[in-house]
Amino acid sequence: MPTINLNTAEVPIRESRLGSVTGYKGSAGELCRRSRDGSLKERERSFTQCATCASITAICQVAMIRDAAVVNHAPLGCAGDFGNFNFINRAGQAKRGWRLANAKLLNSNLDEQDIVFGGGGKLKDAVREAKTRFAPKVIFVTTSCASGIIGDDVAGICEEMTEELGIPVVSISCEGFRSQIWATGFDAAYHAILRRVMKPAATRRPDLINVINFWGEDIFTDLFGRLGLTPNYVVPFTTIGQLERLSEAAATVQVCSTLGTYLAAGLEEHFGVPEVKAPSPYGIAGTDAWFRELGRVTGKEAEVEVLIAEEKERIAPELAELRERLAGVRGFVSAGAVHGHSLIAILRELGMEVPGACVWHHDKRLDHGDPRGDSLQHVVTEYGEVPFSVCNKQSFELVNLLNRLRPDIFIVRHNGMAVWGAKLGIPTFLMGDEHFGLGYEGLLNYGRKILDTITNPAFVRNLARHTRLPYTEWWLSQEPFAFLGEGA
Amino acid sequence: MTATATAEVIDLYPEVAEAPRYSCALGGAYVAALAAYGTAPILHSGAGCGIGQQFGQNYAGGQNAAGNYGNTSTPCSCLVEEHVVFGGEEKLRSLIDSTLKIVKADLYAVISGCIPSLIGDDVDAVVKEFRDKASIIHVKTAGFLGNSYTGYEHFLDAVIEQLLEPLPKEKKLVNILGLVPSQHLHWKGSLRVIKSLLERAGVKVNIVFSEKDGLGALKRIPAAELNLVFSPWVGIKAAEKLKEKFDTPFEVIPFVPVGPRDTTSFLYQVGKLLNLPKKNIDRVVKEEEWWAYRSAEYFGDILVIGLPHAFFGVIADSGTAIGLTRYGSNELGWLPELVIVSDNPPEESRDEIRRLLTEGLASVVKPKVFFETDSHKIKLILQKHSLQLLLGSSLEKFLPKGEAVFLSVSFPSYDRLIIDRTYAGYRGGVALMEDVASQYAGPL
Repeated sequence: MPTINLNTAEVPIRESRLGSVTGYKGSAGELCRRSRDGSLKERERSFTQCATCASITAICQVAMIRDAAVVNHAPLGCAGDFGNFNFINRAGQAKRGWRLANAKLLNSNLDEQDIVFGGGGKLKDAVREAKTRFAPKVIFVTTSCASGIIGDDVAGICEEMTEELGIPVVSISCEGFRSQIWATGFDAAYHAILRRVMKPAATRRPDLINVINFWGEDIFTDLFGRLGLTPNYVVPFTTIGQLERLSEAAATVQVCSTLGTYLAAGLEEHFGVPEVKAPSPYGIAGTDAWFRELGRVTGKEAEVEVLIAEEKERIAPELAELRERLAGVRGFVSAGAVHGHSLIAILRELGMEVPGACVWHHDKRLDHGDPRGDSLQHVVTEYGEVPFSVCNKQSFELVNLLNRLRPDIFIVRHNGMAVWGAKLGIPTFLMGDEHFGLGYEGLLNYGRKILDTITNPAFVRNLARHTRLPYTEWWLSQEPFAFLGEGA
Repeated sequence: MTATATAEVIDLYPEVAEAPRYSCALGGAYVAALAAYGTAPILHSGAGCGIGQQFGQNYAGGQNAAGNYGNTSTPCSCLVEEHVVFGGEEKLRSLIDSTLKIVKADLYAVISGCIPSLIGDDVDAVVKEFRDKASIIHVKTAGFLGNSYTGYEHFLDAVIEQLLEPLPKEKKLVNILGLVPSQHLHWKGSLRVIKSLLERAGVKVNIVFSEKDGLGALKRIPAAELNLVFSPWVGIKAAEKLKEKFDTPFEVIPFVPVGPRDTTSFLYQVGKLLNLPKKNIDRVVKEEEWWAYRSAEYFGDILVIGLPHAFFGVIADSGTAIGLTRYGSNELGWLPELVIVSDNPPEESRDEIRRLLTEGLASVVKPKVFFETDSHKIKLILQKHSLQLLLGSSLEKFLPKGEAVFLSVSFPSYDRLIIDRTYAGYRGGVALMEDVASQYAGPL
């Protein structure tokens, strides 16, 4: 059944494509069941807090392509995140020993005049300027709420500018209001790459493995090297040439299928690159399954078995010690969907209790539709039930929940959420590098870090003592999901 | 080195922004609301607007967190397609209603973004329904209506129009305006230094932003005898309106004084405006100058040996640029080569800013003055100059600039944590020298 339609300019949003929801409260197992039997419905909240939007997630994937430029067709505030991408870009450049430079990002600076008379002319100017300034191989144009509502024909202008400039000018439809699921922005960026950048393979490279990731540490050169494979990290810090030839790879893997589901499925469906369909490589069971499936797809079964055996033997003594020291420690997990599932696996593998977990959204299915990739079901099957909720970074729910559960540690991704653990006096740990917990070594990494975090809670205790929470006593005494409406 | 003060015009698409040095009007209003402690902003906007400001204002403003009501704890209507089609008023109504139950705050500031403005929501009418239930204002600032500085002014305007009532004047009470939270990188420290110096001279000071009781500080604004605007252009509109509505005179102090010379003249200036006994000022000046110049002896060696008479450049918002250029030239003996004003001041204030940057300098070298916000064009300007010291934003940190010592002093700066740090006042000059010298002291 074809799922990835590259004929349309806009990617279908996750709500309609994957049945994704932003509100749920119950158990992990029940969520998996209801995702399969079709009874899971979105539940709207009558109180909501700032979340994220698809513009930010779309730009985060294309902003660090080395020889591409991005024009954000929007008022200036939508470029607020540029600074952050500059920061990530520079950190990545420094790590690789490259010259440090601004990310090639321009904002068209829509103002009141443009809102009234249309921003098309300004967009063309900005695209021309991007060409002059950066000499890019491709220019991506991202849309915004304002450009969408005033009805600028961004796709049409991009066609026109492609003609004029002689390089692909590619629109990415990522208006913030289109989807409640900001991961739709990843899909929008990948849709543009699949449609307009990638080329069919002229040759195949049986050793090359596409790794869809953000910008984590390079851990796969070593791991894959032992299998005779070479990682090809995408999309940040690649070149257009590299992206054109993604089709030559032997397989695509993902460290988080919330991020890469669309690109991986598109690569398989339209370019014949098989996707490794397995739970995420976190925790021993997940890592075993992930590597075995990679071995099967690439014909490296024997090498994978050696790798698994070696790695397990190597980590065994320290893992045993960590399990002993962490037995019964209660950790609450909050993260993007699949990464959250992965963190639960890590904590359970370390012998910890997980009194609750909360992820930013839930996809009923992934684009490939294969149940082997269902990372939440994997966690339930391997480690048993977990109290589970879905909230798109609604910190009022999270603060209420944490305040009741009082875990020994709060493990969270996304900086806006972390501080609430600290303000409640709960030792809190935020890991930005998604590869930190990956594989066998990742278990040790997390175990050590968790021990470090709970060893000295002085800061969080002091902060909690002197912080007045912004919530009313009334709210803190309500059930945490009281504002989550009934499913439609 | 030329000694003329002319701005070059680069007229490629002038409005396009690479790595912008401010955010949109919503961004400015949002950080102003967060800075008026006890105020909960309520964003009527798309879901990502607040988080964009977290990166684009708070982190950019010296790696600050957003505080209790910012970032993911800010109530937001998170408008989606159905609201774009059918309107967002009902969503806002239910958001405000639930916010009053859930979020404990002294003041609620509804800040509307691009979407409600484009679809024509009557936000004023919705906000009015809640006036009897809580202190609540509506700051109408679609992102496309201006930049962060505009947003700051919109916030003050909403406060003046919707919150303030006339009060009897309090003798010797002044309000401090014009230091835009987050955009003036050292706003918290600068406000506190100004407050403390003036208080020692017998003045009562309402710094408004970062006062403990934000709502109280806002409401107290009409009681002031005088408003001081610390910028050549931002905050003047608010001061004019306050004069009109509450008959409060104002004085524009176009820059935050850095170091003893300018701080002393600032104190005597305020003394005159408020008819303070001269001996009050004399006492503060004497004590502070004594310590400031003893401190100068301590940094004398590393300055004279390490960075004597440095040709220096400044890239900053107008007020910061003037203060630092004057201190460097008049007190440290540096030679001002160029100043790039990066806050996009309105055309009509530019001559005055240029004058303040080039007159009254001890140095024979006068800086070339540019008005530019785009990082790429700033890079092109820098390539034409050779500097020994550059005071800029962290965007300039890794530009090829020869051997120039670099320190980030202006927005955006992602390479420093700035909370209490400031270059304002007597000790600010010492702090600047400490920070600059720390960039070249060593190598051991």
